[in-house]
Formats: sequence, C-alpha cells, structure tokens
Amino acid sequence: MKESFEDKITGRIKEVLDQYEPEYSPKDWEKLRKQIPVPEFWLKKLFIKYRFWLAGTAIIGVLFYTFQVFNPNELNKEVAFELPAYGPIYSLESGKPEARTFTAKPAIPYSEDSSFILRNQNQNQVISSDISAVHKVDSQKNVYYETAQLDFNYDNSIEILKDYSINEVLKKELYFRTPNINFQLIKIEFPNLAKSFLPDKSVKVKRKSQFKWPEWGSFSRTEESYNKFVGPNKISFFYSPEINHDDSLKTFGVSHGFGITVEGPIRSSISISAGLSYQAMNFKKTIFSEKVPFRNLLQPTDTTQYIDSIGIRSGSYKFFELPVSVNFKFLESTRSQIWLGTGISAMAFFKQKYTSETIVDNISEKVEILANPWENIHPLASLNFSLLYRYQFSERFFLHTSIQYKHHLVPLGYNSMKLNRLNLQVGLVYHFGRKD
Amino acid sequence: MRKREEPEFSIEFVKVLNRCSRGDLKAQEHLYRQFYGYVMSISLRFSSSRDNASEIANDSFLKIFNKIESHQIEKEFKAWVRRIVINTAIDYYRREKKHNDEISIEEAYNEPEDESVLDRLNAEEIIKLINSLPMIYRYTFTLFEIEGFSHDEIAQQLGVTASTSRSNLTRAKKILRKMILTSYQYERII
Repeated sequence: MKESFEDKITGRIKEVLDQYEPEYSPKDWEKLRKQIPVPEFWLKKLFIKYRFWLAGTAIIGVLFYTFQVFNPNELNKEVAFELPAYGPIYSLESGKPEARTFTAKPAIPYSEDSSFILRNQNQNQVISSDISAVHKVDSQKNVYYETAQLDFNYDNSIEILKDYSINEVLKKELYFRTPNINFQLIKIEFPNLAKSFLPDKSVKVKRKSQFKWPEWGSFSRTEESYNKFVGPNKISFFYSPEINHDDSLKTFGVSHGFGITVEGPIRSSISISAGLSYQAMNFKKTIFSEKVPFRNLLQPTDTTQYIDSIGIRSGSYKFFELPVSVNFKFLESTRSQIWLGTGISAMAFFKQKYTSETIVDNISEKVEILANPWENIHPLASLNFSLLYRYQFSERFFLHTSIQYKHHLVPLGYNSMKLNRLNLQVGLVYHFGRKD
Repeated sequence: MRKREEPEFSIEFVKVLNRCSRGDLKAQEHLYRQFYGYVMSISLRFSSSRDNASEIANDSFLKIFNKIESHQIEKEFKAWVRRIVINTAIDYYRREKKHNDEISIEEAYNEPEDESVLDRLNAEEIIKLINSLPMIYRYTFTLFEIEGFSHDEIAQQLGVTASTSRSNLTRAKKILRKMILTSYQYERII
C-alpha cells in the first residue's frame, strides 16, 4: 500500500537520522571563530604576529628618547647662561627709590626650588623668598632662558606669588609689596658659580609647607617652555605587594612583584608614564561546599540532579604587566606631590598552575592545569586608577608610593579568572633631564 | 555513520559552560567540538546543502555563546541547544523563502514498491534526499516528522495555514518516495 510505504520511508529516515552525527570539522570552527565578537582577539593576534617588530620599535624609541633627554640640542650648548653676581638691591619707600644695599643670598644652591634671604646693610633679615628657577630650552627659537618663581614672604605671609623671568628681574623694575615695606628690586645679582650659593646655616629658612592646587589653565595651556624631550623625566623602581580577589576561586590572594616605570611630562601638572612589572600571585587552598550537577545513568531521562560536594581550589600564577597611564598632579608643596593617575595595562602570563578538586561521597575528582608559557596574552587587560604620593628627599631622588585599583576588563588565565586587584607600590624615583 | 553519544554532564562540563559565558575562546571551542555533531545533525535536516547547514550551525553556536548564562546550566542544556538550532533554521527560512517559491510537483512515480530499498539507505543518502526537497516541504517534513511540531505550530512558524502545512507534508512524502524509487530504478538499470 502506497501510504504505508511512505510511512515506512518516514520511519526509516527518523531511525537513521536519530543516530547520525557528522564528524567534527575544524574548518567550520575556523569560520565561526572569525565571527565570534572577541574584541581583543585581533589585537592579540596582531601583537603576537608583530611582537618582534614592536619590541624593536620600543627599544629604538627608548634609545632615541634617552638620547634626546641627555642631548637636547647641540646648538643650546653655545648659549651659555652665566649666573649673575651679587649686587645691591634698592628699596622704595613712600614711592621714591632710595638706594640701599641688599644682598640676595640663596639658602641652598640656585636653580633649586630654594629660598633666599634679603638682608640690609646691617645684615638684618628684611625679606625671605622662595625661588623656583627652571632651566628651559626653546629649540625652535634657539633660545636658552629661565623662569623664576619668586614667592616673597614677610612676617610669614606670602605677599607675591608670580612667575618672573630672570631677565625681567634683572632688567626691569619690579615692585614687591609687603605690609610694612616696599622694595624696588632693581637688580639681583647672583654669584658666578652655584657653589657660592651655599646654605647660610646661620639663618633658619622658612619654607612653605602647605599644599597648593595647580592652576586649572595649566592642564590645557601649551607651555612653550615645557618640552617633553627635555624633562623633567622620572624613572622609578618599585616593589609592589598586591591583594587580589578571584571571583572564580572565591578567595583572596596575595602577590609580590617589582617593576620599573619611565615618566615624561606633557604639562607641568600632567605626565605620561609607561612601565613593566612582574607579579607572582598565589591563591591559597580554598575549601568550600557547592552543589554540582549529577547525572544518574540508571534514569533514562535527561534530568540532571544536583548534589552536595566539597570543592578545593588553589592557583599560582606569574605574569608580566605593561601599564601605561596619564597622571595629574593635583596637590603639591615644596617637597611633596600628590598625583592621580588613570591608565590601562597589558598582561602576559608565563606560568599558570590551577588545581581544582571536587569530592562527592568520598570520591575525588582532581584536575591540575599547567598552562604553557605565554598561553594567555591580554593586550587590554585592565583599567587602572591610582593615587600617588611623592616626597623629595634629595636633589634628584623622590620617595614613591602609590595605591592602585586594577579593574580587569577580560577574564584572565586558563581558568578565566575575574580578578580585582589592589596594588601598592613603594619605591624610588630618580629625576633626570631638566629639573622640575 | 557515527552513533550519537550523549555528552557527559560532568563538573568539568559545567566549568566549560561557565567559561563560555565569560567569553573564553578555548572553552567555546571545547563546547563547539562537543556539540558540533549534534547541532549539525539538526541543521542538515533543514538545509539544501552542507554549506547551508554549516551556516545554520554556526549561527546557532553564535547565539548559544551570546546567550549562555550560568543559570542556564540548571536547565536542559541539550534541549535548549536544540531549540536554538531549530529557531535559527526557521529564521533562515523566513529570510530565504522569497527565493524559494517555485515548486513543481510531478505525479508520483509508479515504480513497484520494494521495501528492501529502505534498508539500503544510509544517513548520507537520506540527508541528500532531504536536502533535495523544496525548502517549504523540507521544513514541513522535518518539523513535523522529526522535531515533533504540530501543523498549527508549523503554520505559525512558517507563515502558512495549518491545512497548507498538511498538504505540504503529504507532498514532501510523495517527493521523497519518488526520489527513493527513482534512485532505486537507476541502480537497477546500471
């Protein structure tokens, strides 16, 4: 009968198809992999493909930058700046200039963020001033010049806070007003050599100690005299302990690391930094209970039951991190600076050991994963927020401390850790190039 | 022909699903390997060619990777995958049906019925037969006979009436019968 034959055809088709599954096709996976929207994938591929070129370019860049820092411009060497000698200073009382002899004597070597004292003929202290002098080179105009910030104090009150160029101070008549006396600073002459500006130990220098905010305009204004190829540049070496929380291991971990950061200015209050650090991270053995799916093979249905189990997890990871950040100096005093930073990090694991053990009814299932070196490279691994404190304790050296929160944008490592990291740094900063 | 094996619902499998939900490519590849055969076997029933089936399968996997959440572990994962593949195939039908409206049916072939020919049909041949069916018949036959949809459900999904669905199913069976017997006759001549 025709109908029954068609039913038999249908039955045969169902019978055969129910048992049929085609073999896995790697080509189909390749097609799909290209469609999977993983934003970092092409970056990762590109990074791996051109890693040697990138490393070479980075090395050449660092060498070029270093050369620029230590050899700003050959022409500039010909424009020597000669420090002026001591000279008289004139006071202006009741609007009339009256010559009096004062000497300007810096308490510490000139061109530092230093103080100097003005004395009258009887060597009585008349006025003290903080002076911040900065050497600057305008390579385009082929001019070498300085600016000096003179903060005059009288009776511990700041009366003038303004930027003057040395030329202005030397050639023009400037008036410095104090509550009790007016000075017409006709000429400040400095000794020929910085050695002459030794600290005057007989005078206790009053330094400003309060923090001040940077001018808002300094963030956006182009400062011609601020050349990123001249500095001030900073290199810092730090030790960085870290507290981590891994969502997948459900535990806290502690890691230790160290690193190096190079920093250069964009504005006087903005800098950009890049670095390289190493971290060794350990998550101690964590024991917890969880419900796991259990398939009862004696039951023909597809239903999955959940039963109690004990989970034991531990992990050990080592990785390199390349952070890049932009920093904003928002508070500073004579010796201290507080910066806020934000940036991103790339990460490359070179050792991963992850152990997972699940115990159900005294039956243990243990999985230990040892991933290959460099198996996981994340070009855009984390978004970083940092708060930095720096304290100057010598001409070139600063104490560097920072606290950073690192929010990871992608799951990390073989077992897809979702990490939150609180990173601390303690180290030394060395200033090179032009002084700040 | 490979006999289908049930994927094991182990702790590691749950971890793979978790990692897939976080976009871990390795876990996605693992899941793809594990369910490729299952998904392709469903896709092939709706397709006109292997490339077409591969397209439906990969679209289905994309949906699976995008929608997979840890709470879905508690559900019937295989049944969920199956629904996604069928829905993807139906979406494909809706996109493509404009180009597949021309259907011509000849009278059923009056070749004597030899049931032994059915036993000789293997999976690849059956897939080819189904692939050769006009699109609307292929979908109606697969949804009704294999996936267990009712005619009302088919009508709703394919945008036809229930009676049209019944008619399409009858025609699909006739065409299959014709194709099987024709190929049988061809074999005999050779």
